[in-house]
Amino acid sequence: MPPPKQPFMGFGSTFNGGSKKPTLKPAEKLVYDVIKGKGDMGMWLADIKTETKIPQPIVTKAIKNLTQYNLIKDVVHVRLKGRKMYMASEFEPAAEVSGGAWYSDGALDSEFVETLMKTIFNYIGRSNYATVDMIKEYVKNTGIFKMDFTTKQIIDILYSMILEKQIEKSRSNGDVEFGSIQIGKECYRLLNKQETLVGNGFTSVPCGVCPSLKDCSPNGKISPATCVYFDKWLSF
Amino acid sequence: MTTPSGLILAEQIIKSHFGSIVAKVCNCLLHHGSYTFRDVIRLTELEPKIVKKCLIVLIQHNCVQAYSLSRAEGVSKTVTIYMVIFDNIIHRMRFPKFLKIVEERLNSQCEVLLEAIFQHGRLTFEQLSQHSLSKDKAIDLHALKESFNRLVKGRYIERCPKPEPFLSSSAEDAPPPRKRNQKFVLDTMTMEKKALANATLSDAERFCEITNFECDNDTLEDKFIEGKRKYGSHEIDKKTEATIVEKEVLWRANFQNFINFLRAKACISYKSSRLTNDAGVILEALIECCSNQSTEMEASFDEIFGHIANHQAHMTKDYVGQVLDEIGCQQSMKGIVAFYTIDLKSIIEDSRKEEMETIILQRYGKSACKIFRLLSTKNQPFETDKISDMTFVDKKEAIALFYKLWNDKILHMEPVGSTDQKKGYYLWKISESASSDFFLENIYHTAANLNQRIDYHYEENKEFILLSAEDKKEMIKNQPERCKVYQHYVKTVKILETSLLNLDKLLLYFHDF
Repeated sequence: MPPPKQPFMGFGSTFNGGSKKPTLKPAEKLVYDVIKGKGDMGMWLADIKTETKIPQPIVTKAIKNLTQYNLIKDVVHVRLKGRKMYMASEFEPAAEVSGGAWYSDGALDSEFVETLMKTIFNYIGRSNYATVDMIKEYVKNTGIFKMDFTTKQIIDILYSMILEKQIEKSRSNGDVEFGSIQIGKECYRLLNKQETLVGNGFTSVPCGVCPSLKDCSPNGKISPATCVYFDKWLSF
Repeated sequence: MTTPSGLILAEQIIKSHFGSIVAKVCNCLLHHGSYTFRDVIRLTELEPKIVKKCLIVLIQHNCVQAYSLSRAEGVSKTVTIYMVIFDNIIHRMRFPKFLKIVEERLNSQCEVLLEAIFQHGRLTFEQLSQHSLSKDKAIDLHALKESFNRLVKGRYIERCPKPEPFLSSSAEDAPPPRKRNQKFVLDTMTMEKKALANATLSDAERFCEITNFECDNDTLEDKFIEGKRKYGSHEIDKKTEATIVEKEVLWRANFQNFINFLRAKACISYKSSRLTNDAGVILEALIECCSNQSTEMEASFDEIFGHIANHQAHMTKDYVGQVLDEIGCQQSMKGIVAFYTIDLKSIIEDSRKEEMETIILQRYGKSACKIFRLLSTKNQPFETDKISDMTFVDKKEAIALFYKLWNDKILHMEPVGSTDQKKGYYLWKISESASSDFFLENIYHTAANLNQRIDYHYEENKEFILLSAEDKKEMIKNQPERCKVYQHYVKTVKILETSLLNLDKLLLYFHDF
């Protein structure tokens, strides 16, 4: 059996898998210090070059080596996905960089958010009314999610569900339907009539969703008389 | 308020109802504002005789109002200005809707009378009677008068406004109408409002029912001639004189009443669909108890409950009170009597917001709709990332959506601090007036497009449509495929007209309510 591959140590390095600190070349040390100095915000490759005033090939090589030593890591900036960002390994990207708890690899983890919303929706549907604490406890006990949600995170997701007109806020008045929820306590329930924005007189005709409506005029190049969308709509 | 596409739609309506020459004159007034007779001739390059006839047609059909201005301070000479009434032109496409209302709420005879008024714009009761007699010789004129008075009492028709009100005070300071600068446009706007206000009669005059009208035309004419011969024109007895005056009174449709009715209906339907059917019934009862023409509705609880009890016996007092609260009515006490008040404008506002959300959902997608809902609910500016976090919309996707919504003037953007991406940030909020303009312009544009498409299909099939029934049969016999083409045309126009009718609901929300 061949011996396991060792990471490239670089010339003059005594690094052996992380137990010992590698001996860094001056250029590597400078680059590492600059990146580490930025903490959890990370640093853009172009900024590293400007700040260290080292020629590009050397910076590129230093970054390659520092990554192999596991001293730095590349991170995806949520808003600047095209930029190569580096951060010292001991830091976790700040919310401004990663996008926050709901983001993964610089993009919103929509599937995760959807699953959480669905779980909460079903729970509120079953219990008629539920407080934030009840929802938080339920989500934790399901075992579906690895992370522990904070109360603020649950409130955020509930507000998003309100915006989607899935649920609404209410206040317990002590009636039987509120169960054991204290009188006056804020809780959530499913919206009586779920959102049914199916379209209106505007969106049900081709012009309502036409991307060329701005350029359409009675005698223009695009006109209702010669409109292909109208032709398609009225071909029955 | 109107938009460029609104003007195109108005011109199309006039063209299809009165022909292209009248449309040309109307178009001149629509696009350039109020003008004198000479200016209209100059701008349209039509013969004075033709322009005069066109203006008469437009005035007869309540699409143009004339008013006179003094030429200069201290000079007794006046000049007549013609202004177009945009809303009355748009109402023309709602005639079937208005007729349906009268048929449902009054009777079919009232509907026939109103139809004649729509057809001729302005008519005296005598002309209306003659019109009805020409259609049905056995008609009971007393019943006709009753129906006519029901239309007046219900405020569906009114006495015509003054033909040419005179504007004196501020109008004297205004520059001559030929100079069209910004200030003049503003001045003209206020003058137009003043002219309309001056032309309008008082409510007592507008809705004064006819009482002393002689229904038998022959008797009326004999009496008039006899009176003149016997006493001279100054000594006609008062009853006859009143009858002659009554004979000359012109009547027209009162569009505002129809709009008020449609507004109330829209509110009832909105509350029924968002809450329960009972909420709709209770709101309807509240509205029925109010006789005012404004959007503020107020009625005592006893009145509301009494109205409901006559129709829906199963509702208890507690339940009605609870639903009135759910609807959003404000309760107040006057002495020992409980009153409930609601402004229909607030319901229309909610409803309009939902219509906007629907349009945004279909045009820009679910995430944009969520962002719009957040900003309209909170009614305050928010920073880019904050919005993205609150709505759970990916930050990059959110930026692209902000750009689209900002580009269409639905959102207003305000850079804060440095515009450098790293240091500065942007605040976003709903630009209420601009977004309303955007929706209104697009709705008018779509309505104009549907109208034009109807015209296009008509022109395509004109040859066949204009054939006599016999010729049509002959052609179908010889060319069976022509029949299929015609059937397709009929179906197509039906779809387009239904779409136009549905679109009009939105026009009412964004312009008339």
